[in-house]
Amino acid sequence: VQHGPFLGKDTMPPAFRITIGADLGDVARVGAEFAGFAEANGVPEKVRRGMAVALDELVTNTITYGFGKRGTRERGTGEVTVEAELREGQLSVTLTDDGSAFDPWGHTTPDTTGSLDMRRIGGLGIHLVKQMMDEVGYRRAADRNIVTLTKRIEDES
Amino acid sequence: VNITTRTDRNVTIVALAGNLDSNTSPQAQLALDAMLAGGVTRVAIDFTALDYISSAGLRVLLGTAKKLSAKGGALHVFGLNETVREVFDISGFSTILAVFRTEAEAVKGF
Repeated sequence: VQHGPFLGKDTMPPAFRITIGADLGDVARVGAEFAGFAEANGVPEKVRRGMAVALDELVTNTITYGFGKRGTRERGTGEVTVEAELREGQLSVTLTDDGSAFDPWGHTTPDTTGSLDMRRIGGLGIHLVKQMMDEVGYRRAADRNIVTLTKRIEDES
Repeated sequence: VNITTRTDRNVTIVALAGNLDSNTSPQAQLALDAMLAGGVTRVAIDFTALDYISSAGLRVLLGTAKKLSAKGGALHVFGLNETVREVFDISGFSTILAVFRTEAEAVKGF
């Protein structure tokens, strides 16, 4: 088992948690909080940046599809919680929301080969996350969507 | 995102510092639209100080590239860090946008 430089077996793993309203105006708070957590705990830049992209994609996706016109709940009435944890040489993130049931991974891969004129952005964000993370997951439990992301932290030495 | 603009020969160089995500992309869109309305056709975006880009940022780049192309111009980008490069490669943007290593190459490439 490889351990990152910040891991101590007997201590609690570094972790953070933030809950925002289901409001696109709140998404930036997640990014700022996560950046602070990553910096304070020595998360390598590449891992931090990749997860920052994933958080932007998934939180905006959840709020767009789970709430408001496209979802069953009003925007702003729901909540999205983001939790991150550093453990065993990996960064794990869990996103929990109480919007409509929505599996972000259950969609087809967008075309990424067309010419400039033919290109569309739809579905690209989720495709990025799938490719950039080492593991992704989804489950529905207690009327909540639970999305998990894992990014391995390679030894930099 | 911080946006600074200057001109090198006939090329408008737009330096982006910070990140280009769902929160900051509307601001970048406005700035680029204003430049296009002002008649520029050759735009090179400097990513040297850009930390990361998400699909919201890609949307801005794609729209800008299409508008410039329709006017007979082009969009070049340079100075991508490893993560931005990865996003470009996965999304296929590496093949639809002209990506350069340095500003000199990006300017010369027009």
